[in-house]
Order: sequence, then structure tokens, then C-alpha cells
Amino acid sequence: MQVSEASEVGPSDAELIDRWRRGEEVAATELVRRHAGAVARYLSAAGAGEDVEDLVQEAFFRAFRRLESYRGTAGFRTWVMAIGSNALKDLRRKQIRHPVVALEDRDVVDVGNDPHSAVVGLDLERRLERAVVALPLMQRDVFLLRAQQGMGYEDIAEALETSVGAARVHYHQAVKRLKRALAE
Amino acid sequence: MDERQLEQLAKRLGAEAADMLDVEQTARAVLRRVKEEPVTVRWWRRMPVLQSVAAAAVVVLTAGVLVVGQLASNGGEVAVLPAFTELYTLSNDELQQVYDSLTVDAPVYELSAVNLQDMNEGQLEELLALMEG
Repeated sequence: MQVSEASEVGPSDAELIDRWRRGEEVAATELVRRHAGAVARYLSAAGAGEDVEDLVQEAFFRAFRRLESYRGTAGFRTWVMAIGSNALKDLRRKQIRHPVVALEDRDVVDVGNDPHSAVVGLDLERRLERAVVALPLMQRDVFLLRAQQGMGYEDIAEALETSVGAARVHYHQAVKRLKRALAE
Repeated sequence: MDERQLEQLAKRLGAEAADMLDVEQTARAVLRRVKEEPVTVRWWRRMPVLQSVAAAAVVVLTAGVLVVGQLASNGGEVAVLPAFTELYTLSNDELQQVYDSLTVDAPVYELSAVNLQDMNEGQLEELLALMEG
């Protein structure tokens, strides 16, 4: 299940990080190009909604600012995702203090010419999305990193600063809750 | 739905957002921000001496709170203790003596001593429920 982040063609993430530390901007650009899509998928599934673009930007910004604290034990992508998750948490906390009226209606789904099965599939996807967002934060992060991103438990534990055993427990709890939510 | 189907479904989440993301624009915006918002190191972090003083102050204050609490519970009696302001000059052995004299209650549940992998499913669930409150 483990996805190797080093399977990209060209220099490894570690090389790019090293080059960026030495001031090569093109290395930073390449890191964003390489991982931004996956980070966007992750944050969107975590409930970022229409803030996903800003949050991807924020995640990379924070990551580059604190690159000296990146030990390289977790994959760079996983590390950025963990930072993005914190950025999402900060944003939601801020929005609770200063609420804004959302104009977007996420329940309106345009399925175009899709047949009944597509509607059912979309409905299931939407229900899973809502159930994932409703999970406790740690369960949500572990579930998405494992199920959506295909990361290994060791990488996940490292990025989320927890133990492998705890990550496994969070994952199984999340799966149990999600199954229950989808069965309702 | 089994676990594998759930994982397959999870892989589809967020695909739309990823497709809509302008990666090049994001990269440019990130670099611009990194350049425009330089790392600001707090002035006190640039002075190691001040950090040491702050660390010593924390030790002194913590010990002070402990001793005051102990005095309150022991009706005013406490083991021999030098002036608070000199705590940071004590050796490890002397600090240990002071600590022992405070008779701090041992923790009821020491998490670090528990190996999660040794626990069965029921115990893990119980622990998780405790952590979630």
C-alpha cells in the first residue's frame, strides 16, 4: 500500500530540498509542482471546501519557512499534508470566531448526462466526504493519509508525531465509524 | 461495504479539487510569500543568555509553586530548602533531595510504560475512548 514519493522522475525530494536550502528557487517550484495536486486532494477530502487553494498555498509556505525542522524521516509530501491539516484547523478556528456566510451550496451536484449509477456513486462519495469530515481530527488525518494517499503507517506516525500502534488504532476506529455512517 | 471498497472510494475524494488547482500559480504565490514575508526571529530568541535566564526563572517559579502547595498541605512544614532564587545553582543530587522532600504523588497511570502493540483490541478501544473523552 505504501506509495513511494521518490518514484518521481528526476531529482529526489531530498535533493530538491537541499537545493532550495542553498537558494535555488526552481527546486522549490518543482517541489510544489510535484506534490500540490496530492495535497489539494487530501485537504479537500479533509473538509477544506472552497478554501482548498489557499490552504495548499499556506501548507507549502509554512513548510518552506520551517524547512530546518524537517528531519526527513517522514516523506516530504506527508509532512506538508500534516502541516496543511494544521492550517485547516487554524482556519476553521478563526472562522468560528469570525463567521462568514457561505455562498456555496455543496448539495447541488451537476451530474450532466450521467445515468443513475453515477448519481448513486456521487451520493456515496458525498456521504463519505461528510463522514470523513465528521471524524475526530487524528482519525481523519490517519484515514486519509492511509486510504486516500496510500502512505505506510510508519510515515504517517512520523508526520503526525504519534506511534505506529496508535496510528493503526486510529485507522481502524475511523474505518469502523465510516462503515457505520455509510450503512445508515 | 468492506474496507477495500471504502479505500477505493476514499481515493476518489478530492479529485475535482486537485484538477482545478492551478499548480504553477500556486508555486509562484508560495515563492512570492516566502520572499515577501521573511522569517522574523523574536528578539529574545537571538540572545542565548536571556533564554538561559528565562529557563532558570521557569524552574524557580515551578519549584516555588510546588513548595507553596506543599506548605499549604503540610500546615507550614517543609524540608530544608534554600532560597528559591538559588535553586538553579544546586547540583543534581541536591535537586533530587529537594524533590524527594516534596513527596509528590506518583502518577496513577504512566502512558509511556504501556506498549500499544501489546494491548488487545478491547484495551485499545478503551484507551482511544479515554483519549477522545
